[in-house]
Amino acid sequence: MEPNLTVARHAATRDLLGAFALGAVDAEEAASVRAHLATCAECQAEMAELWVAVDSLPVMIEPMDPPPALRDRVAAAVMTEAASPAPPAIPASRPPELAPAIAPAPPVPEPIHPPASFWSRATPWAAAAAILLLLSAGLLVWNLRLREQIQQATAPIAETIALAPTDAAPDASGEVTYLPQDELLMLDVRDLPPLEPDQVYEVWLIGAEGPVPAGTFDQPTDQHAIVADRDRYDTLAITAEPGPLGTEAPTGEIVATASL
Amino acid sequence: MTDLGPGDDELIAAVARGDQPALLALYDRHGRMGYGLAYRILGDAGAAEEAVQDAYLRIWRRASTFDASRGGARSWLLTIVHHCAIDLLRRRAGAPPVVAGLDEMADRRSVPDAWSEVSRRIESEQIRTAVETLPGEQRRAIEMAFFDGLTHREIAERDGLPLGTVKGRLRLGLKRLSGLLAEPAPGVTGTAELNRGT
Repeated sequence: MEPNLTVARHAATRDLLGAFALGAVDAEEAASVRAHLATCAECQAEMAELWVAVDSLPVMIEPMDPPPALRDRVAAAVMTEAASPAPPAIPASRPPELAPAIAPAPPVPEPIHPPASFWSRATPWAAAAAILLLLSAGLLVWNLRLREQIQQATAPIAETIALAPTDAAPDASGEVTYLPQDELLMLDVRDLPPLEPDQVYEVWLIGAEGPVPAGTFDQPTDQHAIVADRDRYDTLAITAEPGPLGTEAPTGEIVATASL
Repeated sequence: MTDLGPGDDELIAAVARGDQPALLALYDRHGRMGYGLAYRILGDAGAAEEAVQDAYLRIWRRASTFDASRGGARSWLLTIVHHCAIDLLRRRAGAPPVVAGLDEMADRRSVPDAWSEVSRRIESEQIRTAVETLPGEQRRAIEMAFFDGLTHREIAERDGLPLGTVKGRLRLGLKRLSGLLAEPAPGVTGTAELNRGT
């Protein structure tokens, strides 16, 4: 490249570094800055300096207490994703509000879904967890490593609660198994009433703050795992809701319930 | 249970292996900061919750891309919350997404030790003081970009300024802020000149 052109590009890119560090550039500008940064030590040094300022900006904001239910929703969203063997093919397993953020994610060489293959990660801990799950509630496509090494030695005491059918679904049956040490509820349902087209079954945990969505599934006989502290909820309920994503608040009749 | 447990880097590594309790431990540690940030950007509780939930799902998916040599764990987590909040803000406003910031790690190269050390020790009060020390127009431009999610072109349009002016304010404002944060005595105002210790 001609020296003058190089100098001009350097100057133009350097002017954009602040906007780039703040994410305030368009795609074309970002590509141009990235290409230049790859070869310009001076601009790399300046970027390191600018990142310090950008990273500091969130720290000046006063922390705020999020609503307690948010933690459960985060847990449920991750649990649902972890339980999904092929997330892109099963949109029903994603909470509705997450879908737009997922769509534009650029392709990356690393696996985007670290827990995608439970069985390929045969660490001793995962194996221990797998045996536990199998003994407790049958086969679950579920990636769980036990919380801490200490807990490996002593298996948590699992408690099983029968799932009660309702008038809307007299044939439904199943169990909820709770593993207190892992704050894990494992749901094993059978013979739920058939869904209408475009519906899914949605699980709800009902406590003092009302029903919290805890994941969806679409088979009348299925297993489902939920990360939750049982003591915060009185009841687990299942309804049929509009699919493929379910709803934020229950609208359908309860087809099965368990008193927690 | 988590307070005296593993460090953030270890928790992120555990999340990359599919450890869900590790993700919740990160949430317990940093959720208040993330929620405060999302609320500051979005201005209402429901949207802030949505952004934080988006962010933690993204953290779950992308934990394997975290590289501690390119920045601290706290910065990475908050950057993801910031991106999710801005994404939601722009979506609600019908504006195109800001694509430049989608990869929180790839744009970062190894940070020189001196700056890495600065990042670790800065605290909220020091940052507030430093930001208040910035010239008003630089501060405004930075806040419009960072908290309102506007591109430099949108800032220029909104304030009726030439593009070059906005780019200059963003860059020089950030440089000045870094310089203030690098100063040894936090909270001292009126010494806004850059000092990189050369």
